[in-house]
Amino acid sequence: MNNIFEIINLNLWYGSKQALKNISINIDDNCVVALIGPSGCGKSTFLRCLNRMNDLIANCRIEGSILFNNENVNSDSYNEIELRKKVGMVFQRPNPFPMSIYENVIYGPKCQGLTNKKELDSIVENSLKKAALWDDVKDRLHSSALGLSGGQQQRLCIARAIAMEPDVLLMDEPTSALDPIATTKIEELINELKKDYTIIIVTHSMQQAARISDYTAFFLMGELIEYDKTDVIFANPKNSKTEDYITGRFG
Amino acid sequence: MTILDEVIESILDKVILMFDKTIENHNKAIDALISNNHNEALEVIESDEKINQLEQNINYDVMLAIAKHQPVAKDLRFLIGMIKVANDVERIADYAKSNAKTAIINSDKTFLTSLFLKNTNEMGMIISELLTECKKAFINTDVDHAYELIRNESDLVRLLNETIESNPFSEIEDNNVESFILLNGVIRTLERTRGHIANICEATIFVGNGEFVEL
Repeated sequence: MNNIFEIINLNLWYGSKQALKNISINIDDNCVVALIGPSGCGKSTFLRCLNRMNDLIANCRIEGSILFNNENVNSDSYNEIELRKKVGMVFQRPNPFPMSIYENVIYGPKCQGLTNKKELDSIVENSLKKAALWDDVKDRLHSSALGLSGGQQQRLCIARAIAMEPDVLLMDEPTSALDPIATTKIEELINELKKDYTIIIVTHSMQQAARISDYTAFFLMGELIEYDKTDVIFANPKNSKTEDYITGRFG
Repeated sequence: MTILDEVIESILDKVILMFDKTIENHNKAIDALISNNHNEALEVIESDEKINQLEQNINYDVMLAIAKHQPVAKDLRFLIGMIKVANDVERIADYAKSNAKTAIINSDKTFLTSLFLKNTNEMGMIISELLTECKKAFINTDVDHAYELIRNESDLVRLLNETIESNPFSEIEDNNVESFILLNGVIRTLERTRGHIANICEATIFVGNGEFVEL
């Protein structure tokens, strides 16, 4: 395995409030990394640094290096649009565009100038298959995406991200709005997708982190307290703060 | 205190009760052997069922706790530790029951030699002390004490060896096979009890620091 991300001394401020403090972490490719911690600990802020979504927030200042495939993306010279092609994102609530299933999937490639119908058809089929949604929707590709169930909509959002052929998928609590069956499907999907992608997921569910991730990072008050194999974090964490959090003694 | 803390505490109460009843049965069984006390032996045999029931309750409670609370880290290790320890304590109680049965047979035939009875009495007391101490070590997750107990069991090992080397079988009248088997059984139960105490110490170390050790 190679490091797809190498983060060195990352600090982030919202105005005068420091939200991330000296975060250094290496992330291997083709694995699932869970970011856990109490609300306000900085895990979503950290996630958004990885595809520079924080650029959109006023008064946000970032220091430190975020090396993606050995290039520092925390730099004005790095094109954030190119970065977001390689580092896709799936959000807490499914957010399909108000258009057909087909149009949702090809939205990104079309924005990039791809117009060949055959190629677009192929992207739709491959992306929906990878997102385990093809069998559900292959007969109604041109129906509105808003008619899908919540779990199907979230898998469509994953298909939409996959259509751009990213290296990394960032997921910010992707199952918090879903029922247990849809959650299980997304978790099974994440397990399949890690063969092709690196997946970094923010979750408030300790059980979900334990079930699906290979590595877990525990954040507290803007600091990275512990980062280790998930098996170690949930069986025998080294830091007492991690142990207190995952056993429900604070947070 | 979390809800899971309360659940763990209530299961631990059962483990402590199981330890206490088993230590009591062990002491009574040894005493019954030494003093040919038929009634005491019967009490051990009768109360063994309660210990078996406690083990089943502990297993069920732990299963429910895992299913309902999804424990991790030290909570999970402690719950697993309680299952492991309950299993070992139940086996120790079985050995006490076995010795009680031997005591009943011996009260009719008195085939046990005086040296054997003397050593059995001493070993019984050491085991009783070790059981009390390993109970404390487990309750308090005292890893150092668990290691210390295993290091300090040399008296027990010496007595076991001395008893075997003294060849207590040579004094069995007419080479009676049943007596031979029973006497061998007493030695074996004491030796196996020592093994289960080591298991309890290993479980304590696992609960404390997550390490799997073989003592």
